[in-house]
Amino acid sequence: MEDFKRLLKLQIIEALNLQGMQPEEIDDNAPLFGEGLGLDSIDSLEMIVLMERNYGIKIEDPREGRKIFESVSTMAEYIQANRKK
Amino acid sequence: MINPLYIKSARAITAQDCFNSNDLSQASRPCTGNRFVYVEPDYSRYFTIMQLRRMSRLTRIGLVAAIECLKDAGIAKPEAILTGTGKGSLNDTEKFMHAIRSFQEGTLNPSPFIQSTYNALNGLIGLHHQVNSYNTTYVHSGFSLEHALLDAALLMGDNTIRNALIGSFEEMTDEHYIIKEKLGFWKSGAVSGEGSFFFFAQQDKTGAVLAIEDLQLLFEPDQQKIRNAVHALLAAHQLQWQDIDVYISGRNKDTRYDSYYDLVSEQLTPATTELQFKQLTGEFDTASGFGLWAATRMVETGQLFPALVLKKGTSTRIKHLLFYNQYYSKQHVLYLLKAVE
Repeated sequence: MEDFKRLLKLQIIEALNLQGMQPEEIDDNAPLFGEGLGLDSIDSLEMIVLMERNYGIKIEDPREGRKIFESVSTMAEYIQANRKK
Repeated sequence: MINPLYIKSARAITAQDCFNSNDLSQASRPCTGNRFVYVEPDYSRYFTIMQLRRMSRLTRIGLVAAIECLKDAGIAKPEAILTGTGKGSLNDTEKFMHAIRSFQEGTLNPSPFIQSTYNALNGLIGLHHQVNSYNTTYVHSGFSLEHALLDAALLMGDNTIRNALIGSFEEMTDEHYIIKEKLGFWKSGAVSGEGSFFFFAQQDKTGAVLAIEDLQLLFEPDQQKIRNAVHALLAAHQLQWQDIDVYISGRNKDTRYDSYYDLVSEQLTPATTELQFKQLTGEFDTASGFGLWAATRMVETGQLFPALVLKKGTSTRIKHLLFYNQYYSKQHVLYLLKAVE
């Protein structure tokens, strides 16, 4: 799981163009939006694209997305449980 | 005839190292591979990583030029933001179009789409300076910058605004270069280029450097129409050919269009110094921005840029300037400029 979280962080860094940021700088359990990494609504759309392209997961309900994108840990758990590729 | 626009400050980011110094008196950088490519500024002086990640190459360049232009003018909030671009952010347009194809029109990244819109830079300038007033981008190929200038002149003419930030921005990509190559854009001597230019203009001459006294736009004119337009422009301002101290031409080494520029050059008297600039910038839709930037800076410093001089004239002043540019024989623009005393 730790290796997968590191991979996911690399994918987030690439998708959100967080130039110069290292995976170690993202706390597994810190909030991705608002506090913590400080992402916003456009980032959430980029994350939806990331989930669909990399793992075949379609997130159509925004309320569902809010829970999934709470932190890297919640994202990783959701992907492992629901991935289609 | 337009209401004069008084330019107080001007900034350029081009393939030449002219941004930090706001000058072009140093030796020039040559082009490589038939393309002039931006000398990009140090963005870390202006933006955080979190801000940069949302900005395309062109919006970064344009925003930096706009920030410094307003700083030079001592203005925090312009009353309008007006720009012109031929193609906008091509890099992101291509990224978005590639994604449409690669992912069969499925879920697409929003960022390249947002950045690909022509008015993305205007939005960023407005956000950065917290300006929510009139904000427009014109996309009219070789007339793009001129429509932004005309709009500003009209708005100032009816006192809707007293000042405006006006600019143009353009970039070239590998793919678009090839498309234009196939269309024959570079086959007769022209070199591809890119550049972003910003001007702070006002309706009042206080503190201004250069006045745009008049601006003429001609679409696909024949040579006689150009000749007539230049004569009419000078006559309307009670000027003779010998009054023109500096003539700036948009000659781009493309032999198909030399005859247009010759029409004006042939009329010049020995008094006039003839300048050309596309040997340092390359050709692009809004290349006229370079001519206007160079004119502003030369008037402000009282010095001609040596690298632009094609023929030195006898006049020692830089007071009346005529600028003619045309874009692939379609859009022709004539500027009559005057130093503000």
